[in-house]
Amino acid sequence: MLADLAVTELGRTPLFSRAELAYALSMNPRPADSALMLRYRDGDVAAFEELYGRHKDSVYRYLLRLSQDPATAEDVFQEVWSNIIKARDNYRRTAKFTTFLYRVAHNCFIDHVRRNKRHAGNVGLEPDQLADAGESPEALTERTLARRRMEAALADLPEEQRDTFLLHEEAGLNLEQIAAVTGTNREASKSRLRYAVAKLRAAIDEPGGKQ
Amino acid sequence: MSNERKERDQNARVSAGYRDLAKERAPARLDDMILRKARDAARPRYGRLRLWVRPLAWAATVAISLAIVLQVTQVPDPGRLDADVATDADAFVPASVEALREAEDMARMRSGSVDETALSVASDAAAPLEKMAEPRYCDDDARATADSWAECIEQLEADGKAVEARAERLVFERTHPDY
Repeated sequence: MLADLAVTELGRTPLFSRAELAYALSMNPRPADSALMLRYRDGDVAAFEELYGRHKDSVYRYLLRLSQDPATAEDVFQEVWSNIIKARDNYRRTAKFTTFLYRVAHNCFIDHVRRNKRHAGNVGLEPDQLADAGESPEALTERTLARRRMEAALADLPEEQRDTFLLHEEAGLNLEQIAAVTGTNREASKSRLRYAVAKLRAAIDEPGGKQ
Repeated sequence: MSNERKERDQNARVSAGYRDLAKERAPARLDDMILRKARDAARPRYGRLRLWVRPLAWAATVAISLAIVLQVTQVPDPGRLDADVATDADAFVPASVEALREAEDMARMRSGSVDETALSVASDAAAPLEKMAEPRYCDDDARATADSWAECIEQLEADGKAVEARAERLVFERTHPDY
C-alpha cells in the first residue's frame, strides 16, 4: 500500500521520497519469518515466541492429520520445535522459512513412524468443538456430517497424497516447495495433490459417503 | 464457465471444507514446554568464559603450529647421528653373539656330558645362527686374511659407512683377537 501511495503523484510531486518510503517499509509491523529466526539466532527470545505463535497451530494440525493420532502428533510437534531451536545457530536465509519448518516436520514424522510404527488412529473431535453459536440443529447436523465425510476421506488418502494436501492447505506451500519438503519433483507433487483433491471433492459431494 | 475455472471453484470448496474441519490448536502445555526450551537455548552458554574461548583457541593453534614447524625443520647433526647408531650397533652385536653362546651352552648342558658328538651338534646348530647374526659387509674374499679384512674395514670407513665398519670390526676383533 505504501508503495502504491509512493507512486501516486499530485501533479509532479510524489507523496513520499525514496528515503521516507524505505524508512516506512523498515517499520513494517510484521517482520518476515526468516528475519524473526535470525533475530532468535542472535538471542532475541521474543522473536521466537512470535514465530512460534504464527506457526504452531498449523504445524500441529499438519502432524495431527498426518499421524491421525493426537499422542503421536504431540510427540512429533515437540521434536520439530526442538530441532528448530537447535538449528538456530546454523540457520541461513536460503529458503522460505515455512519450507524449512515443514521439511523438519515432515522428516521428524517420517523418523517417528520408522521408530515407533504407530500412527494409525482417529483424530476424533468432539461435536461440541465444532458447533458455532446460533447455528440451527439441522445446519449443525449437516455440517457435522460433511466434516465427518471430509475427515474419513482425508484419513483414507494414501500417506503421500495426504502429506501433499496438508502441506498445501496448512503450510500454504506451492508445488515446488512441496517437492522440496517431500524430496520429490514438481510433477509428482502436482499429481499427488490432484488425486488428493479429487478424492476429497468426491467425498464432499457424495451425500451418503463414508461417515 | 471454463473447465479450469470450474475446477478452481471445486478445489476452493475442498479447501473450505478442510478449513471448516481443521480448527484444532496446539495444546497450551506444549507451548510452555517449547518456549521454556527456546529461552534456555538462547541463554549464553559460557558466560564470561566465552570471551576467552576464541583468543585462547588462536593462541593454542599458533603455539602448536610453531612447535610442529620447529620439529620438522630441525636438521639433525650427522656426527651425533653416527654416534647414536654406533652405540646401537654396540648394543646389538655382542648381545646377539651372547645369545648364540648361551644357546651353545644350553645344548651342551642338555647333552648331559661334554662329549664330542654333542659339542659338534651344538656347534653345527650354532654356527649357521652365528653366521646369520653376524653382519657381513666384507665378502669372503676380503675376510680370507686378516690384512685384507682390515683393509676392507678401512675402506668402509673411508666410504663413510661408519656403522657397517664398526659392526665388521667387532666381528674381526673376535676372529683375530691378537691382530
